Amino acid sequence: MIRRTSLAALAMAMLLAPAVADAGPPRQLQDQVFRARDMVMPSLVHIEPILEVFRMGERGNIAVTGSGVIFSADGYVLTNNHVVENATRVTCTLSDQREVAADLVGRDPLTDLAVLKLRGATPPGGWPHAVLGDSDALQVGEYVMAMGSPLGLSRSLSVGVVSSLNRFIPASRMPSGSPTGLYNTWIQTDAAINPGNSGGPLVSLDGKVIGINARAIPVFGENIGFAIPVSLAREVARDLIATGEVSRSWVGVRWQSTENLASFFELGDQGAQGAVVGSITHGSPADEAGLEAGDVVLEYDGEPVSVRFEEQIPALEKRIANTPVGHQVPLLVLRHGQMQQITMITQRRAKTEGSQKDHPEWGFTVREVTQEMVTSLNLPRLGGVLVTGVKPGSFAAEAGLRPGDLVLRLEDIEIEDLAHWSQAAQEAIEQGTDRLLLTVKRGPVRYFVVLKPIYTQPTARKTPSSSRKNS
Amino acid sequence: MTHRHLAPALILALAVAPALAGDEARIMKAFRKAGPSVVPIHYTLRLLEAPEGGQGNKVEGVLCGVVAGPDGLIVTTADVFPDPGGDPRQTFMPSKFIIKIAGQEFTAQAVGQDRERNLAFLKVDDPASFPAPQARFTSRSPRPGERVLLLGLLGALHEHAPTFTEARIVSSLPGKGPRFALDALVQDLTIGGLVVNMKGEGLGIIGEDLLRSSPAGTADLAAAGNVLSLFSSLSQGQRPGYPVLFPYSGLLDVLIASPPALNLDPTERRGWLGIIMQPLTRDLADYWQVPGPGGVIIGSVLDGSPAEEAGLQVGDIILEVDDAPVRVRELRDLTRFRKLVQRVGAGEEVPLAIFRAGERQIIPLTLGARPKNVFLAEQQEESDFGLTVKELTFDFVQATNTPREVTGVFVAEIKNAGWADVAGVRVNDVITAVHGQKVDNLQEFRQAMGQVREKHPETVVFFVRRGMRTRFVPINPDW
Repeated sequence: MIRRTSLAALAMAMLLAPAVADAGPPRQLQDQVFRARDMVMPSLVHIEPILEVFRMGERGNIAVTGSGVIFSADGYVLTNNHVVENATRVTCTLSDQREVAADLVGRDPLTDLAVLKLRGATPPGGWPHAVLGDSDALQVGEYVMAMGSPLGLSRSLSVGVVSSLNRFIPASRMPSGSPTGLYNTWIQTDAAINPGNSGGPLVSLDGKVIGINARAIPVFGENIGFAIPVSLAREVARDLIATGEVSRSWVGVRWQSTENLASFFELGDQGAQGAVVGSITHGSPADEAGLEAGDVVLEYDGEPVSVRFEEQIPALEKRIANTPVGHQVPLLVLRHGQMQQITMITQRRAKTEGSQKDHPEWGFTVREVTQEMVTSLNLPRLGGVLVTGVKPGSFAAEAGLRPGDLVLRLEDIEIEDLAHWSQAAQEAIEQGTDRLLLTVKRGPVRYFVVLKPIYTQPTARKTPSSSRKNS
Repeated sequence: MTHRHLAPALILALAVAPALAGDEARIMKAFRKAGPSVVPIHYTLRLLEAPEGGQGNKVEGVLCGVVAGPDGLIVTTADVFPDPGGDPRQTFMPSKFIIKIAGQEFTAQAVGQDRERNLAFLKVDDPASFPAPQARFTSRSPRPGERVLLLGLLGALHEHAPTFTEARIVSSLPGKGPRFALDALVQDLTIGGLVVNMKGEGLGIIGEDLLRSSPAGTADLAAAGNVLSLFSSLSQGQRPGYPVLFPYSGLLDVLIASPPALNLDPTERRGWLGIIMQPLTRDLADYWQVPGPGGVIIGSVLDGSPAEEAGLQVGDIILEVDDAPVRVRELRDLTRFRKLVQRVGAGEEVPLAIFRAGERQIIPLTLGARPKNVFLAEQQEESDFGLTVKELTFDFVQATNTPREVTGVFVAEIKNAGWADVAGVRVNDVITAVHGQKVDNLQEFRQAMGQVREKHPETVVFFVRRGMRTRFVPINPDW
């Protein structure tokens, strides 16, 4: 606390400093920045992954840059999921400019976090690594440093303060179809964060990682960056290292805060206790348990629930996620002024991302349909594959196939999922079928598309995987 | 079509017609006697189908009308009513009639329409307080050669003050129903006005004989163009015409006694199948080996539509309508098919030849009338909430993939920074409950809103459906 008080005084001194030309920088703050820098900078990594992308109906690769931080002596690196999602190859450049290849340990799209492991023998004394700190103890106004590779400019450091804690940003959706940012509020900082900073550490003045920089507002704002609190990153990293994934429970409820709804639902205490059920996914555990929109959940698994403000929603989501899968959760529910006990059995949260596949012979790409997408894209049910891109001038384009079409049938085969589709498509290509009927759902309408491909190298088609390497 | 050739001659006659002096007093007496029955009718037109994301253009204008019957019955021209069957997105419909007399405003409603003579009948909402007197018609037929006065109105610049033109009846026109030609060049706001004799007795009203849009003789039409530009009171793309006298005797007397029924909704009579279509391209025809010059593939069958009733299914291909082959190969051919169905008309039974599972079948089907779409849907504005809602229509349900069991009203418009906007209500939200009260339709929504207004709660809570999800939206009104 003493240190913090003196910092405030120093900050004041800094503001007044320009008037006194030869006063020099405040030594104590400068020394602390140097010290923290030295503690973290050696573990900072510049990440250059090669990502597989599906664009305009084709599969291709792009090289991107991101940031990361080594947090263990055996070479585990924390970064963002979106930096290494669909990476075919990951190269890390350490702070001493050594290039080290890395393997993907695991990704978690729901929190936008991922863990890599540096390849090769651990150097004597271990890899340089940073210490993960305590994001729960942060204060608004506290000095922080962002480290990483903004716009690819590696080993950059910027200084700022914590502008706000507990910032609520509604969950958004990744291109893969997965939601993200469901389980945390964000640390907002004015330390400059730009694209390329993603995955890099936000560091406190005592040289500990307190956040993973993940988002910036480059268009409308300046000096508004957001970091994932390290408390969440620590948990996710632990799970990823242990099992390669994060297992979570899911109940299928969209929560709303009680603020402004307390009087409507006749909640005492201005809604200090309780969370409003806003929406229920059809067929979800909540639906099965008989929970309804408009129920106010006062207790979850024997503990009180408090979502008076929307900032409290991520904590409740996380509490549900952390409940063991298949657990019978007693709920205390207020429905039309009556208390009720409801038991709900949690379900494992299904895969949220859909994999993609390309068909260079036909000129389009498809994505697997996940339960998540059924809801978000307003699809009738699971089944089929979604067209994500159509190559201009291709057979598919000629036939009138469009991105967004849900392919339900290939000839007479009802498509169940991506694997089923791939197999059916593969067979059609191998047989050289030159007239194929695709039955698609375009919005609410069933649509028929006749594909008339010409296979130039019928024999090469038998081994499509080998021919792709050249593309 | 003798009158067409007559017109240029009339103009010449006008140019040399001297004003007769001496009977000024007589003329003015007749004018003063009959003039007050001629009234300006201010109207507002709105697009029948507004473009997406707004109401579209609004057109305002003025018509001339005659108080011709008891209880504030007014005869005017039907220029403001569109022809049925046109593109609803380009068709303007009257939404309001206001008669302005001496600074006072009187609202009126359309009650009847005679399409053939392009006449419309309005009725004043409150005849008791309506000051304009009913015109006094004589039962005597107009005679060719008779001198008449055409009572009309001046333009907006002169605040639609009453005016007149002297004229002579120059011909009794041949053809269906009594019509008389006049030798006067009439101004826009005289069409719809009153024709009186020199005693001020009503003989009839000035209407327009519309040109037949016959395909024969386009050169003829073009030649007539010059004349038309002088005569016609063209409004919003109506067919051009020129002024004639529609007599009271033997025509208006009958119409005034029982105005022909008004059908303001041109969609009502158009035939409708209730399907979403895909053209049968050559590729698809080859694939399924469908014979014939084309067809329409059914992509979706709407709930409760004539197509559903007849048992049509998704994937069926319509090959013939009423024994006529459906020549649809491309998207643009679909318009032709649509028009064909519309023309056949609602309520008509037609046999459809379809191709299903490799076989040709004949399915009898009775065409329906197209139900209200989003733009024709009844709406309710809650101006204090900054919100306009509409009843759920088949096309809204279809386009938004709203589950069939969902009932309510949908948000059509939100006023910027209004109560609803600030609370986060969005366009296309389906409101299914208002402050705890389920609303299944517009009527229930109105009732629920009425109750909310009585109670004045601090927070009004809407329960809405947005896509596949629901949510409670608390609105804090500034009562």
